[in-house]
Amino acid sequence: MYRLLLILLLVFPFVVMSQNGLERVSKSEQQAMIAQINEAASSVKTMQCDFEQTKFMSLLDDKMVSKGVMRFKQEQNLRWEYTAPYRYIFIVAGAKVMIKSSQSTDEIDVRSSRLFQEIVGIMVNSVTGKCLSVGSDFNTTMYTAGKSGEWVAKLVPRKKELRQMFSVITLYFDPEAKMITQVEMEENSGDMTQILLKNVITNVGLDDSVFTID
Amino acid sequence: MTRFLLLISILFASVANLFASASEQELIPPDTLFRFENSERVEYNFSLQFKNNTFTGVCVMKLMGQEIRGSIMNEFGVKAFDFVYDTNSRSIDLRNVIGFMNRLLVKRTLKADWKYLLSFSSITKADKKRSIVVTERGEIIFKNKKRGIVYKLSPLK
Repeated sequence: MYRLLLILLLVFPFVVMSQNGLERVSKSEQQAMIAQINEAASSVKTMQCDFEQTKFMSLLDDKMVSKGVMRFKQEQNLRWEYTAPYRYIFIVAGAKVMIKSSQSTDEIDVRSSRLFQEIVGIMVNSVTGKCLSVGSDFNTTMYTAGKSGEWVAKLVPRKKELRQMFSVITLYFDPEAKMITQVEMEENSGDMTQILLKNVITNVGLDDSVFTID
Repeated sequence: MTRFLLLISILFASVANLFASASEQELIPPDTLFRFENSERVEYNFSLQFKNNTFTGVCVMKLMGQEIRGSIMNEFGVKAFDFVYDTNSRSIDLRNVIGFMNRLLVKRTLKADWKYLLSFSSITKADKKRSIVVTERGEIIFKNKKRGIVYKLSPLK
């Protein structure tokens, strides 16, 4: 009886892992995967893509879809622009953040707030996957997705301010290109935001004027 | 007589201009601010202005049975708070309030304001502390004059 129980206890975790299609990798495999992702990220000088954001609202049992375009240029230049159903532009250009909404246009010095600086850094590093690096703001666990072979990183925030917003962030990587294809941000409320990156083009010329408010 | 009629015309014209400019910008709020059809959600551009700070995002609402359920979030989808308004009892419950807004006075103000906004069609007594106008474009501008808060909701198309 006890032997049967012991066998079940040993086998059960692996059964659970397989059921959701993710298999956790070993510590050494994780380090190797993160190193490869970092290497790929370092080779990305510019990146542009379309994105589709789906917000799953648990209380409303419904979802809201928004679309936009993203532009990225090393070292810290990011343009995240929503085009439908609302227009909103978020630009990081070095130490400056510029925001244009339907109501106003604002410019903020990132250095004015340490939390803001961290969030901006996470956003920029998440675009390429650099946020997985050891000593970052997250506890990271790597998986492979059985059928697709995708690499999956689950990031649990370490700091209280981020934990208040997100319970876990999941990044999906193309195993060939080592580039992010999808981001999922789960909130403590049960809501989830999914961002799909599409039509990704890397290392084409991007003028600095892209990272200014129109 | 002619001079008197001319004076009346000038006065009327100036008053008419006043009404004309008001109708271009503000309308007396209709009986029902929000229309829910077939349990479909309604989506609004949303902003909350308080002193020199402005929070922008979207407001999504849905009529579910006797409840109006809503979610206020920024453009990235990060939630500020949820609410559930019971159309029968006209009571409101705030849920999942983000950390920096999770303060007693903030929640109390938000609850009172959203209850006023959602129960507008059944309000019989004017509230000196609050005002609502609806522009011709369908934008709802709601002010909490006591707290100096301005909410704006514009339908998303």
